[in-house]
Amino acid sequence: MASKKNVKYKKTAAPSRKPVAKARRGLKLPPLPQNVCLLLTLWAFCWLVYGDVFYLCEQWNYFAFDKVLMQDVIDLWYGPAALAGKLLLVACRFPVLGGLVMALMLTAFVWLVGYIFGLKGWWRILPTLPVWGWLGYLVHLRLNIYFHFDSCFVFYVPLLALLLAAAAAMVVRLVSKRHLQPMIAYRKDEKPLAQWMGWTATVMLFVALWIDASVFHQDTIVTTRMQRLMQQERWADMIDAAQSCKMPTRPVAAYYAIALEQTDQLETKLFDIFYQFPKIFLKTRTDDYQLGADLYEADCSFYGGLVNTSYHANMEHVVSSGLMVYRLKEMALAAILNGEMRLAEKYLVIIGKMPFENKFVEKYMPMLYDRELAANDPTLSKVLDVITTVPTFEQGFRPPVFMGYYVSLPSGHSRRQLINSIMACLYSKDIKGVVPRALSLARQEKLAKNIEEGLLLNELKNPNMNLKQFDPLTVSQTKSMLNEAHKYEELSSKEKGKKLRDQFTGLYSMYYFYQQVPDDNYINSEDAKKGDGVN
Amino acid sequence: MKKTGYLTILAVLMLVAACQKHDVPQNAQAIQEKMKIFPDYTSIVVPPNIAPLNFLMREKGDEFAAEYVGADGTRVTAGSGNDGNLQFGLKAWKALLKKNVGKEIALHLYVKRDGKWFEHPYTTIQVAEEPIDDYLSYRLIEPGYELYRQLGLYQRNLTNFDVKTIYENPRKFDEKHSHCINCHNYQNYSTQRMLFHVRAMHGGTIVAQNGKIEKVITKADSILGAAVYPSWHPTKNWLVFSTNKTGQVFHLCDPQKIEVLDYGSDLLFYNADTKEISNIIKTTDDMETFPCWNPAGDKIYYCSAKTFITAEDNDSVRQQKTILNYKRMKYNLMSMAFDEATCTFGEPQLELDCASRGMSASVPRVSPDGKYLLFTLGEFGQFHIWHKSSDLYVKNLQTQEVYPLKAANSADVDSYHSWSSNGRWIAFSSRRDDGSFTRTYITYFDKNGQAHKAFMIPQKDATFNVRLYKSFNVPELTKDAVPYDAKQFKEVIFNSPGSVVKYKEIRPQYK
Repeated sequence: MASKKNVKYKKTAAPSRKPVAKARRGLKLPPLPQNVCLLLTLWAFCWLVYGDVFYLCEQWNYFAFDKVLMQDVIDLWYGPAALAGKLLLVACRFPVLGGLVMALMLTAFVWLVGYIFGLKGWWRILPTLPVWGWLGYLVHLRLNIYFHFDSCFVFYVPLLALLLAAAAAMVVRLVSKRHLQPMIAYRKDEKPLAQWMGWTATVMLFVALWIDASVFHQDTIVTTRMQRLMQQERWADMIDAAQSCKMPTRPVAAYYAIALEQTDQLETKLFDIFYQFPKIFLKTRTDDYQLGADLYEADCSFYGGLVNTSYHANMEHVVSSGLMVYRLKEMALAAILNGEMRLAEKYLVIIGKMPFENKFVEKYMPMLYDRELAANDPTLSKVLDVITTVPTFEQGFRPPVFMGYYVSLPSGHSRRQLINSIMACLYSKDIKGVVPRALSLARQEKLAKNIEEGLLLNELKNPNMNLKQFDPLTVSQTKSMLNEAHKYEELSSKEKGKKLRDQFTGLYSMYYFYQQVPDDNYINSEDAKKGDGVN
Repeated sequence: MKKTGYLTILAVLMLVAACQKHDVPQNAQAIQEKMKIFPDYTSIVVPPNIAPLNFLMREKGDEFAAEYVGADGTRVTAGSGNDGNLQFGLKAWKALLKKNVGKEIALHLYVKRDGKWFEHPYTTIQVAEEPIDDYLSYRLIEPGYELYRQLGLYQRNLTNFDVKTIYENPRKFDEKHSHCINCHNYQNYSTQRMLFHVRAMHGGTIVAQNGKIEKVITKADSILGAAVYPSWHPTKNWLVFSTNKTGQVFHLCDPQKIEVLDYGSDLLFYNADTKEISNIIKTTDDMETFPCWNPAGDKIYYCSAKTFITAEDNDSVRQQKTILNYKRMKYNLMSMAFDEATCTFGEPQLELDCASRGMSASVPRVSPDGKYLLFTLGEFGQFHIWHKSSDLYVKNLQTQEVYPLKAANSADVDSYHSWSSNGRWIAFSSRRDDGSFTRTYITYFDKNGQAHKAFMIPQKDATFNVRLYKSFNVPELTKDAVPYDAKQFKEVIFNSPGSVVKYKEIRPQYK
C-alpha cells in the first residue's frame, strides 16, 4: 500500500457559496461630486429664489472703505465681524454674484465639516442640514431679515462658521495627517449610489425650501422684488408682481400703488388686487411689532410728492439703524427735488463711496448743476407734478402722513394730485369725500369706473337715488356682486370677501363691502415707539 | 549680511522720500481764474495757535500743490494727486504762524493739467495777535428729528487735530440704556466746573467739579420741568437755567423742515452748593429762556416772548395755540439785575425790542470784557438752528448800538455762538455749506467790535466734513481740557440714582 504521506494534493478553491453575479444591464451610475450638487442648489436658491431678498439686505446696509463713514460699525464690540459681513453683502448688489458667494461659503463649510469628522457616504449629508437650516431660518425671518436685524449678519454668521471650520480642519490635518480632498472632487472611495442618493437628498431639501419660501413666505419675495423694481423704475413689472401675489400684504399694496401712480393707472387698477392684509410679523429694531408703515412710508411719501416727509422718515431710519444706501438714495433725490443741491452732493459723495453705486451717482450728479434735468426725468417729473405746496405740518394729518394728506387734500394743483386724492378717499372708504372731488374731475374728463362706482355707492344711500346718471354696466356689475354676496348671508363680511374674490376682485363695490374688513391686522396705531421732544 | 545691508539702505531711502517736502512748481503759468477751495480759507483772520488749514482744491487736475508763505519768507508746502486733498505738516505750520503773528501769510495755489503747471491768483490770510482758547467742546448728532441712537460730547484741541471723547452713547440703540446728552456748559471758559444733561434712561444733570462727578435731578413740584439751558455764574457755584416744555412740528414743504417750539418756559436759579432750586420768573403770559450771566456776575440776560396761551389752557390746547401762532412768536432781549450778597434778582428790563422790528432773538452771550452782547436774530421763534434767516448780531452795551456781524454771517443758518476767554474769537454753528449739517465756524472779533470773515475749524482731512454724517452742536470754547474721562461719567450716569434738588422760594411774586 502506498504511503499517504507523500501524496500531494493540489489545492483547489473551495466552491463558492455565492450565486454567480448576473451581468448588469441598464445605466451604470457614474460617481458624482456631491458638493457640486450642493453648490448648484445653494446658488440657485440664493440667486433665483432669494436673490431679491438678499439684494434688499445689501441696500438696507452700507459699506465703504472709509473710516469716518464706518466708525459706528468699527466701534461695535463685534465690529470686525460686522465689517466683514457688510463687505461680503456688497456682492448681493448683483444677486448672481451674491448668491454665488453665499453658496461657496456654505459649500466650503460642509466640505470642511465633512473632512473634520471623516464623513463618508450617506453621512456626508449631515453637515448640509445646518446649511439648509440656516437658509430656512433666513426665510423664516421674512422681511425682518433687514427690517429688524442689521442684515450684515446674513454673511458674517456663515463666515464665522466657515472660519471656525477652517481652523478645526487645520488642527485635524496637523494631528491626523488625513488628506483633505478638493472641495469639488470625485470620491472614488465611495459608491456612486450613495453619491446619487446624496444628490437626491440635496435636491429635495432645495425643493422643500423653495416651496417654503415661494408659497408660505411669498410676500417676502414679492415685497423685496417690488422694492428692487422700484429702484430700477420698472413699474409694469412691479404691477405684475403685485398681481401675482396670492395674499398681498400692506407693503405689497403700497408698492403696487406707487407703480400705478407712476404709470397713471391708479384710478383704473388700484382695486385689482385683493385687500385683506395678512399678518406680516414685522418687528422694528426697538422690538415693536409693526403693521408695515415704517417699511414703505418713506417711499410712498416720496412718490406721493411729500418730499419733506419722505426725508424725515428716511432720516429716522438712518439715525436709529445706521447708514443704509437705500435710504440715502431717496434722501439724495429728495434734496434734488427740494433744490438743496449742496446737500444732494453730500449724499451722492457718501453713496459713491459704496462699491457698485457709481451708476446712481453718475445719473443724478449732473442734476445738481442743471435743474432742467430733474424736471425732465421721467420719474422725478412725476413726483414734481404732485409735490405738495401746502404750508402746514405733518402733525395735521393722520398717519401714515401720505394717506392722511391725500384724504384731506380737496383738489391739489395738478390732475394727478386730484386723482391721488380721490383714490385715497376710495381706499379709505370715505365715499362722501369722493363726491366733491369726483365732480371736480368730471368737469374735465370721463370718470374711471372705480370712481364712478364710488359715486354710485354714495347714491345708493340716497333715498331718492337716481341710478340713470350712471353707466348701466357699472350699475349692473355692482348689483350682480351684491346679489351674489346675498347668497352667503350667514357668512361674515371677511368670509364673503373670500368667496367673491375670484369673480369680483377689481370691482370697487366688492372692495368697499368685503375687503379691508377690520381684524387683528387693522389696529389703529401703526407708529413705532418714538422719542419725545427735542434731542 | 549683504542682504540686510541692502534692505537697510532701501528702508532709509524710503523714509527719506516720505519726509521730503513737497516742492511747488517754479515755472507755473499764471492764470486769472480764482481757485475754489474747501473749506474757504481765503482772506480770513486766524489765531496764531490754530491747527493747519488743510483744504481740498475743487477743480479738475492731475496734481495739485499749495504753499503758505509768511511775511518773513517761511514756507509750508503740500501736494496731492488728482484728489486735490492737501495736508500741511503740523510742525512746519506752527513755526510759520509763530513767526508771523500779526502779519499776513500768502497762500499760493497750483494745478497741473496735461503735463503743465498753472498758478491761480494768490490769496492772503491774516494771523491775529490774540490766540484762541485751545479747546472746543461740541456734541455730534445727526440733524435728525425725534429718534436718536449714537451721539456724544467731544472736545477738540484746536491747536492740532486731537479729539477726546467726553462722553458718548452706545453705538447700538438699547431701550434700557440709551439716552440723549445735551447742553454741555462750562464755568468761565474752564472745565473745572462743567455740566451736561442726560435725558431718558439714567436721566439727570451731570455736574463735575473739583474732581467729583455727581448726578442731580433738577425736578421739583414748583417748577415747570427739569432744568434745560444752563449758564454758570462767573465765579460762584450758582447756575441759572431755563426750564422748557418743548416740542417739534415737521414742515410738509418748507425747506426749514423742523420747527422747535416751546409751549412754556421759565427761568430757574440753582445753588449747586446747597442743591436748592428756585423760580426766578414763572409766568404763563411770557416765555423766558436762554439765560446767561454777565462776566461781572451782577446781571443775567435772557430772551422773552409773549405767548398766546392762558393759564386755563391744558397742554394740548397750549400746543395747538403755539403751533398756530408759531410765526408770531418773537423773543425780545431782556435783563435782570442780580445781587450777589442777597442772591436776589431785580425786575425784568427790556434790552432790545426785537418783536417791534419783526424779529426774534435767542442765546444772548456777553463778551468777557462786558462790552458786547452777542445773540442770534431770526424772523421768529427761538430754536434758530432751523431758521435760515438767523444771523449773528451784537449789541454794544455801552453805546446801545445793535448791528449784524455781516462779515461772519452767511445766507443760511448762523446760530449758537460762544466767546473765547479773551473776547477776540467767536465760535458758532453754521449750515452755510449744505443747509442741513451744522459745522463750527470761527470768526475774529476785533477791538472795534467788528467781526471778520468766518472760517470752518480745520480738520486733518478736509473731506472729513463732507463725509461726516453728523452735525457739530453747541460749540463751547475752553482754556483747558476736560479732566475726566468717559468711563468716569458713565459710572455716575449708569450707577448713580442722582440727588433730587430741593425747592426754595426766592421770588414769591412768581410762585
